[in-house]
Amino acid sequence: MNNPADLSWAFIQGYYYPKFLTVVKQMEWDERYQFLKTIYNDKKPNETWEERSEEPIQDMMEYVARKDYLHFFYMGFTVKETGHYTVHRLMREAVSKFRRIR
Amino acid sequence: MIPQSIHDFVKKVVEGKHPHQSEPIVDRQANVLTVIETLVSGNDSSGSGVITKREIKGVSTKDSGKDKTLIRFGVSDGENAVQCVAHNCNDKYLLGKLSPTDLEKADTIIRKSLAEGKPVKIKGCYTNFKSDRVFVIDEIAWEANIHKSQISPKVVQDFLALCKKEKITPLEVMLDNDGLWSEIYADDDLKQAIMLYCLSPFEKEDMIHIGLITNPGEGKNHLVDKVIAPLVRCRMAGTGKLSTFAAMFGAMSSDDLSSIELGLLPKMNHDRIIFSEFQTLEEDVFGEMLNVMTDGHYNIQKGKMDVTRHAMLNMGFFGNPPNYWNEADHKKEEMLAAFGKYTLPIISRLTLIFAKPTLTSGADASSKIKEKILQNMDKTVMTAGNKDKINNLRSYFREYLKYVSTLQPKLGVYSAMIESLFQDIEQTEGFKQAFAKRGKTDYRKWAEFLNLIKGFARLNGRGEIKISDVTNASDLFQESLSTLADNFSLQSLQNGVNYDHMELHKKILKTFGSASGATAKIKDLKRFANSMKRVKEWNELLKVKRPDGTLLIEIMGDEAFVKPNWDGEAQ
Repeated sequence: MNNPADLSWAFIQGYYYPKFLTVVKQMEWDERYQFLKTIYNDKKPNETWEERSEEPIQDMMEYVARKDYLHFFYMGFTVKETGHYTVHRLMREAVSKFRRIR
Repeated sequence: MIPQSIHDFVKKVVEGKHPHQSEPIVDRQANVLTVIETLVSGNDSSGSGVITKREIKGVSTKDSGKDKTLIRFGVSDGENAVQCVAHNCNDKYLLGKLSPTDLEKADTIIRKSLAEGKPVKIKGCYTNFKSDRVFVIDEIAWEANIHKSQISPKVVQDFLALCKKEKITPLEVMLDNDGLWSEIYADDDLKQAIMLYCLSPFEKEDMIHIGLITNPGEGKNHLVDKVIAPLVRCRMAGTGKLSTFAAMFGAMSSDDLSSIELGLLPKMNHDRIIFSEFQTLEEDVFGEMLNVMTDGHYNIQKGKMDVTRHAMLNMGFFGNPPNYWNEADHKKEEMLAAFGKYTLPIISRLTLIFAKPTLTSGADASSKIKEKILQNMDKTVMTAGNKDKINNLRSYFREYLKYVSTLQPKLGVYSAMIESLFQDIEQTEGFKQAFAKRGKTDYRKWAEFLNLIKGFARLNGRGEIKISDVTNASDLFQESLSTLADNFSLQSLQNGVNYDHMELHKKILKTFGSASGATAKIKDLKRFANSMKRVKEWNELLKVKRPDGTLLIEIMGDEAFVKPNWDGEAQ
């Protein structure tokens, strides 16, 4: 694997994902909903998260069950062809939080 | 648990029975004790050390012969020193005459060792000369390079292959609690930091400096005695008056400007020094040390001499929080008062710093520490079989660490990824608070971060970087950062306020008022500050503005109102 972008994705998944998962699963569902929704909306500003029922959190739970957290995780990063990447601020905060809750 | 196959491999290498290791590993530490032991008998002996001074005498007497040369020089191993003589005088004057050519060769070695701190090997015997007992040398030669590993690349390759087969990394072997860490309990982050510290720096970029500020009794010296010193060459610097500028950097005799004593720093070139209770160091020592920490060398100018000394070494700063500090009453930030006014420059230069009350975390840490102390008391760790295993591991890894320290892993294809990772770290609140106040970034921290990545690759015996090195380095770097950032705000330090100011402020409130403030005559407050030898701090406190823009100390006629609730923050 010598493509810098592939290397970065491999690193991101190995380094950030376990931390992200630990933190996100410790959040209460109302907080978790806001967290995931913000990441989703920031990644897709033109097709933001729609609240389609009276139970948006329940909808999010079902969506997560279908798509897995990895789906949201990837939305927290932008990787260029050069291998440079940027991290969503909430993702950064989650990783910082991980160090405190261990 | 270290697999038995690795113990067997290590044993073979140490004993010189491995196919690629025909010679046993020997201790190549400089030592002149064997020479000193023949002081009275005058038997032939040999030893090794570094030349510490050189004096030339011209001799022309009836006994010596005409136009003869006598060189007096000192050889030190860091603990003991021997006064030596090399000469070409006739035997009637002094035994042990060298030919003029040999004397010139000897002098070349003496001068070079004095200038560069390289160790030499001496052979000869003690004899009386005038009223002195001196060691007259028959031979002087360069000591085998103590920094060159005694194991070959093939041995390391075999070791790496074995580790791969056993599904364990070399670093995991080094961190195992039943191996190098069998006599002390510590968290993995600290163990990793210590192993990185045990690498030998051969370029200034390779230097790794660590700070360890914990409560007394946490085992900092034990860490040196039981892990670092048995494994690699390391010296503990004395405190305060004992670690003078001359002792650390070397000094020139005012009688003889060609004689420069070798200080502890150049003596430990490519090795390590630990400063325990470093806050007691003299200011000039500390000031110059900051340069050495970044440059790996320093210059001494005196008289006509301008000498460059190499001191490329890893420094460890071990200390306690100030004596008034306790966990219940004081903020964790005050632990760093041990660095005093050097806090900022030191933090900037420390690759890793652990400032926390206790070195170990986790629910069962305390019982594990107690268990280790008990085992040490009962001598159940260093039992016959175990002792050999542990000593073999120490001998093997001493040479392994020397070998891997010379590897130069390239960051190459990972550079974009590492740059982005560091940018991510830079954007954390902790990093901004601690390091990046004076500019958008901190290039020194960037270099230190890269060095950590390379360090992890080296510890695993690799000449190339892997993603795991970046992961390990980032986790360790941020763990260290968290002890700075999560534990305290550096705002007060950034504003030039140090702990002397805060201590004075606290004591004024305690003596003249209460936690809600203090009102007193200015002259009484000044007298009080004077009694604490804090007049300078008092004058500076008068100028401090709190974050809300008001003065910390309001003057009303001949009285002053000292406001409470100040933790060093200033506008």
